[in-house]
Amino acid sequence: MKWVMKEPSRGDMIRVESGSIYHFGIYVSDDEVIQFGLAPSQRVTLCDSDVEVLSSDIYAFLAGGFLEVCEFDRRERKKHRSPDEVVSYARSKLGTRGYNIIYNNCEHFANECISGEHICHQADDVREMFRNMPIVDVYLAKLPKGEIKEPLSCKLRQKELEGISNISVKREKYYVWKLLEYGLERSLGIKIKDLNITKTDHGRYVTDKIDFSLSHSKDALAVAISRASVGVDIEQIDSKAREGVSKRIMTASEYEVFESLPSEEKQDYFFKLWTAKEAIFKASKNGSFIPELIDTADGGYKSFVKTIGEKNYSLSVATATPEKIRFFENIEL
Amino acid sequence: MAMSRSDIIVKLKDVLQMAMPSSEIDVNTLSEDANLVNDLGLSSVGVLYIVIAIEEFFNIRFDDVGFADFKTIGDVVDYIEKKLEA
Repeated sequence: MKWVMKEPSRGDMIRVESGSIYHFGIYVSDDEVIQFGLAPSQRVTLCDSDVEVLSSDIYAFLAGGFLEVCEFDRRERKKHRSPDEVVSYARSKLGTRGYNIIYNNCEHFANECISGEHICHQADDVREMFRNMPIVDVYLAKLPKGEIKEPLSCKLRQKELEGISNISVKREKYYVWKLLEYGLERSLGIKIKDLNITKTDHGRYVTDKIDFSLSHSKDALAVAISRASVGVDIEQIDSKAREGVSKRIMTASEYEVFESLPSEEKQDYFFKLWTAKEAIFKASKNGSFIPELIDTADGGYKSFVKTIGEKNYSLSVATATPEKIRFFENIEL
Repeated sequence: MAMSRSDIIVKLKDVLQMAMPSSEIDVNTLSEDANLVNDLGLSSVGVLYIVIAIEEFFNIRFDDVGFADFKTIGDVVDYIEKKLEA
């Protein structure tokens, strides 16, 4: 099907732009266009329950806009009603109510008259847009002090937690999953129990729908959630000397930069590179972490410095769309 | 962990911000009494986008109600709350 500007014929589906959406109708004659309510901009009432299938002349339908006619190809036309059937179906619906902008609007009505199919491409397109919206949401929280309360919703993880004897390790792992539960619900309306979470051979948790990554360091918890691959790593920027380790974890050119920095900047640079490499590794879902082989010059990540509980942390997020990163900070667990 | 009413409001504001990126309104300043038409200045297109965004990000369906039946942000929150409990 395609939309063209031409003279309409009896039984055609027609449309007119109204704001940034289209208003649809069935053309019978210049004096009779059958449509589900007037164009939204023309309505006197805002109440959906008052909207009904009505007939107007073409001028009221267009309200000053340009007329477009839907042209179907031969294959499509085979499945459609004949123009006379379209017109009599549309007329039989005059006065019908039950308008709903998403589920029963003027486009649904026009399509139903033509083919019997209750469809609205506009709503489908908008939905598709939101479904494809690259989401890279990062949640940050301070590790709560209190006792662990209710079990995690993810049974697989809960079972593993029960085997951890070190209380503080257990708390960190418990609360980072609590933060994940919170984030999934806030970002995507997904409950963790509705996700099929499994563990890979490399010990990574994966789901069938979305990707997530978890990290914790001292008092800080970080969770990244995305529809595409994502990795997150957080480390407290402490004052330990990093000279010795640096050469081993950096590529030659990264180390060259490190060497050239004044000593007060070396620490931040070290932590930035370290978290970036770890985040990139996590997003890759590979088996083993060999930091010196991950080149941060390849990009695909973004680094930040965040203050959590008065301490500074280096945080990196690996994603194909770093510009889409949204932060949700100070989450109370 | 069920979403509390305040969680829903916070998230609804995230979604509104996302669904109307070009809007000049700072959604964070809106209260529950904010009127959808007068305060948010929602057009019918805006409504289409917002309803679908809420559906997608809260994982619910507005299939038994017209969005125009809501007057304020609080009415929308009531509805989401009811749907999430169901």
